[in-house]
Amino acid sequence: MLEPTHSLKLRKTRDEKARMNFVSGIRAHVLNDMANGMRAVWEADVEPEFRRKRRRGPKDGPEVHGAMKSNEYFKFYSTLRVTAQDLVWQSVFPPLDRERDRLKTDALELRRRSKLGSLTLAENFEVPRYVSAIDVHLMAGNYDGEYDSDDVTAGSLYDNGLAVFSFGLMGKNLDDIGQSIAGFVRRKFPQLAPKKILDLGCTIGHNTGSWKDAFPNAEVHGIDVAAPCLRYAHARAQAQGRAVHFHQMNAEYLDFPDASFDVVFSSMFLHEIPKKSIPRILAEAHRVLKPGGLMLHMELPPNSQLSPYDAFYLDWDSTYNNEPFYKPFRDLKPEKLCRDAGFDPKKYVQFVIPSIGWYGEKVWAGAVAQQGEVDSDKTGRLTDGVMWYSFGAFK
Amino acid sequence: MFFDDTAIDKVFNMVVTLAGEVWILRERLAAMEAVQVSSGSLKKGQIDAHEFDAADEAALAGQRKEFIDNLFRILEEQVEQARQRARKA
Repeated sequence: MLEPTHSLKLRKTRDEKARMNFVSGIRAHVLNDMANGMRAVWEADVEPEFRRKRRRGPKDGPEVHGAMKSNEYFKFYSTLRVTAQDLVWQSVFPPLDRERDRLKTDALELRRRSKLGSLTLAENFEVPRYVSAIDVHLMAGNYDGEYDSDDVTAGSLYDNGLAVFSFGLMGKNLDDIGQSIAGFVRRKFPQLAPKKILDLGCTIGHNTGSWKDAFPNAEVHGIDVAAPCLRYAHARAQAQGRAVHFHQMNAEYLDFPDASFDVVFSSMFLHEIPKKSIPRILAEAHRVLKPGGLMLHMELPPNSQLSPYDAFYLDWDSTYNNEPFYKPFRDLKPEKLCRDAGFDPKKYVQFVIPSIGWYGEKVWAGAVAQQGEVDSDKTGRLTDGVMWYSFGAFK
Repeated sequence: MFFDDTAIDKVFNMVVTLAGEVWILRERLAAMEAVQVSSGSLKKGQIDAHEFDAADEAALAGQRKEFIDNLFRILEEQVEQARQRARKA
């Protein structure tokens, strides 16, 4: 089964493992088989009916959604996907409840023993309401929920839950995004040779460590607002022998000097942020970047670059998976966001990077020379053959 | 009947009945383990501690996929019909 490989992984009974395997299997069925089926139903039945009634094709994702809502296959796809999402977390709770104290002790011991990296938590830190007020993607307690002193529960829930959720597509260490993108940057921009790298909204640091792997001499920092995730991230990095500096910080107000980083990165982060905060985060990224440095955000592709059906498909999470900021973010134009944050439009970049785990190193390395397709049934989707979208700019 | 569509009450009854049958299987498995432990052919906790080897793991993954495909097979009829209509059109 796919599970964390480090010493903080949860110890599970035979039945708990079987339950997790089953939930991963259901997830793969919905996101591969049923996703293909739903597209076939759209193309053969729903879209022709839409065209007959309106005498035109759909303009955008919400119009496709409106037409699909009453379709029986869409209803089964949706109810099964919501059920699977719930079962992902439910499958982690029993071993997590049993192991809570052991995890806390082990995490403390790992942090005490090792001299790699650091952990800096802020005193009287105010977690923004857009994190504290919701359980994003139906994760109970969200990233910041704390139940005890030195608590790491939320980090463990996320680590083990993500392994079940991603049915192998995030890689063994859940770092396929980081490995694919950090490795791509190393090959594509050899002159960049970053000395300091920052990962925004790093949660458990699963994609932060990849930057240390790609650039072993660089100083790598990760920030997040959630203390239990950061404690876990630091202990996890120690268990894996990676030196990463974790800080409790809000990406809207970074406590780093101007022009101090060569790379500012984030992954699956901006879509969890309300529209009004995103410009502040990009402006802060611009401020802390050195001239010539690279800002790069791995994200779901923007609606403006997708067909109405693909926009509808990705917007599903916003409506049904407690992702209130996901569609509003994807309705924004990444080039404009970068320009408004002070980046030169001529220095805007975007990439579609094949998953290194799925395609293997050879195909992945070939992507350095080619631009992948944004509007495809692989880009930004957790499906077999996933391609990671990213955008940003050089300063 | 409590729900707007009375079929929901009936399906609920079936789900609870099915859950009861699943529990009966669990108790029977527990009994089988206990008998094997007392006869010495199994150590207590051995099943929980068991790790499948890579070949067994791969075989089970294949069987699990078949199981899930079969469970939701009826939903795929709508897709197959849609594909047939698309081919004819």
